[in-house]
Amino acid sequence: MSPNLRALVLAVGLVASGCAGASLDSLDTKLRDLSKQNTPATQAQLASLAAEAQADAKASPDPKNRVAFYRVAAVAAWQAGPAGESLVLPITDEGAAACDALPAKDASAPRDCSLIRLAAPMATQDALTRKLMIIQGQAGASGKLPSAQLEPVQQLFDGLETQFDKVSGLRGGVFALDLPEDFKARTDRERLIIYCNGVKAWSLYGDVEGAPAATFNAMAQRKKQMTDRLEADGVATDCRTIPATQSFDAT
Amino acid sequence: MDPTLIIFGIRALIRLAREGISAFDQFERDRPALFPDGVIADFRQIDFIRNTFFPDHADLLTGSGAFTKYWSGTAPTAVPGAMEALYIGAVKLFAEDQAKKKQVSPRRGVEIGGAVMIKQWGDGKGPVGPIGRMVLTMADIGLEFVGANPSLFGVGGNGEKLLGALATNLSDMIPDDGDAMGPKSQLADRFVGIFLRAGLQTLNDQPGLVVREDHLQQLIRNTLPPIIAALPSGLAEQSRWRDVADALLGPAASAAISTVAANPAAFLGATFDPNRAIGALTQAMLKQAATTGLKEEFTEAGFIGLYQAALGVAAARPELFLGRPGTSADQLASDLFAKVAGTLKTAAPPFNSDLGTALAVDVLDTVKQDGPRFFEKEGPWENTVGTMALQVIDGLKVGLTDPASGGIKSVLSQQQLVELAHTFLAQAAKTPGMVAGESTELQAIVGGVAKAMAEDKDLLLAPDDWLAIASVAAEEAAANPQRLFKINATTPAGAIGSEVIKDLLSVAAVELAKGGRKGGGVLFGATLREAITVALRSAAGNAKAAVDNQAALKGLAETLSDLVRTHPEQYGSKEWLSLYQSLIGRVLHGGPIGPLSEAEIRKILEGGPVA
Repeated sequence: MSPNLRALVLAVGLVASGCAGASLDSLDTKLRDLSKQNTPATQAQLASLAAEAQADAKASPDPKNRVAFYRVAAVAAWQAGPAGESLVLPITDEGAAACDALPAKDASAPRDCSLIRLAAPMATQDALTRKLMIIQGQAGASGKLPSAQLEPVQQLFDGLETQFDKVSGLRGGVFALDLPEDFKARTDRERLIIYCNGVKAWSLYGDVEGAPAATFNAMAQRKKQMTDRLEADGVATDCRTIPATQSFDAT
Repeated sequence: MDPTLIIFGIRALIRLAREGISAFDQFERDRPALFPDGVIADFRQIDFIRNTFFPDHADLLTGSGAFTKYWSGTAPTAVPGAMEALYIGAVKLFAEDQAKKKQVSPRRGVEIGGAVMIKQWGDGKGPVGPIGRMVLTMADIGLEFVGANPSLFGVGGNGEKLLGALATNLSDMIPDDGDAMGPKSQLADRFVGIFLRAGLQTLNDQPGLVVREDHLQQLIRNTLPPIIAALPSGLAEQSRWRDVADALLGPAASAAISTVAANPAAFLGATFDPNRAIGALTQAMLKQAATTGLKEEFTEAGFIGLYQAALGVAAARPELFLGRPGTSADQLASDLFAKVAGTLKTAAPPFNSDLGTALAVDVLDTVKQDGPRFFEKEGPWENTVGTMALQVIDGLKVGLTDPASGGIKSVLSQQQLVELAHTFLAQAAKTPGMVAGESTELQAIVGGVAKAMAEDKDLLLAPDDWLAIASVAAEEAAANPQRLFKINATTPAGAIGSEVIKDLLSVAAVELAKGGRKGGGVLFGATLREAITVALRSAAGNAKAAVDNQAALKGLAETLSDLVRTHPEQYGSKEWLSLYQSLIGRVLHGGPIGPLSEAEIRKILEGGPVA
């Protein structure tokens, strides 16, 4: 075969395959490094990274590579905190569609698809928890919150309960896939985190001036349902064992 | 070539390129990736108290409950010690609750805190690893070949043997970075595919080959793993290594398999395993090509030609590669290619290219045929291959660079130049000592002939004539050392071989000036060639007489030419040669012959004694 023909054939092969590995590796490395730092500057960079990975995903001709790029985009948008909030849902929607388009759907890329699907409720719970931490910091010397916080705190509880439902709903799919055991355990840990934040929101409701006992008790019943779901899956519900996130924007 | 094979080759290449990239992409996709923790709010004592008492133990906080005095509505009372009492109560209740719920794992959910890196797949659940990928590639190529060439895969078919040999060596071919899908692993995948494709095509092109699977196993074991392991560490060098191997490994595999199949006896119970030499040669060729490149002086064809010739030596005389104490086959093969390439790179054009390697191939073919007996005993014969070729080239340079004549390039084509060189090399190979040590005898002989050739400005001789003359000159010079083309202080007078040829060419040129064929002259073409041959053979045995009577020898040729030209009705080419052959001895011993009478001429032509 002549050198020209060989070059053409190789070029066709390269173009047809799309050499995505190097780009993915670079984005993953950035994601890992920026996520460790957790500063406003790095969160802005994470948001840019999410947008870059989303663009790469759209441009990728290989379905599995596309999903991998969406996974990076979804996690980056999640970790970008407030800077990435507007990106999370578009990215995870597109990512979920990309997973649905794989030959065996999520089973073709189990970790990447599971992370894409978990990213939206986790990013939402993070946003709710950040608000919760801010409200908690507003308590006076008596430990009480003004009554104006009744509704916001209740909404936080509602929101966290919803995210718990969503992640718990995803759990069945995660456990059915060929995923590493630590991924499955990690999913339960995320549920426990949302649960504990939900308990926290409910408990904080009890600290609001004039909190009606009936509402408090009704919320306690909903909290118990979450407890039961966790314990039914073998997860201990001791929230004391989970260290709080040292977040720069908690106060 | 069968068009089906061409299409197959293209498909296989595309698939290999895709496979390599796809494997790399898969590796990158499946690497451990970040799974962060969600944000966690500070969980205080009061949160734990509420969570434990509500809703199941809320009765303990109201009515006659044990903790009633410490609780009011949704929060603890201001009673001193209330929080501590409630917390202790909550801890106790929580422990009791957990004890009742035996199915709950107390550590589940808390054992992996903080962000973690998690793999794509569970253990044993992911896509195939490096060996699997190679097997799939092999199967894919093999399957496609089955469709186009079913006979290769019949019972005992050569294709099956090749696949079997590759499969046997799979574990040897997986490099140490296999699990990480590093560059060596990708290279291994690619090379196995190239080797298989080239091998199947070779076996298909030569269906009569009888090849043993164990020979192929050995060949692969000694060829592929070393070149995979030799992948350099720098990216630029890796790229060069891959490019060179992509271009050369296929033809090399084809040549190696053909060599193994053509020399089955060499591979049976030999003291020195030729396979090891073949492996060493393959690696050495690729290394040298990676150093030299394939775009300038030496092309793919040059390297493969040299490689094939070296394979021939390895198959016929493996002890040359494997039998020298203290020198490994790898080192020897590496030196062979390095020296040849290095020597020829500085040779006179056009021999600083593939034309030069063609000469080295000649030398290697001679080594294969006759052994290295013409080199110094126990010496590094591999270093001398290039040197020997260079002696011929340097000798020819005299004729190649003559500005007045335009040189022998105007007489001989490039291929004929190689044939001319081959003539001298073949003679040198039969003549121990001609190139041994510091001897430049070969160069002197070649130079002498080349110098004379450069004098043929009127193209009186055809290329074939010159090749025949060169053969005689080489043969006579080899048989009579230090005579025809002696290089010493008396040169050029000492190079009587050159002078005799030049004198005859000069006489022939005068003939041409006097009308040539139209004027009745005969001293050109075959007659001139035979005249030179006679002169060289005669002078070789008596060089001193030839030097002393050089003018008389030329005079003899002039006399005969005049005689034949002026009596075209009586004498022709045959008579010219007969008289020359008969009288040359007399001239060498007695000097000028003077005028010839008609009776004397007739007597000589009738076979009478020469006075």
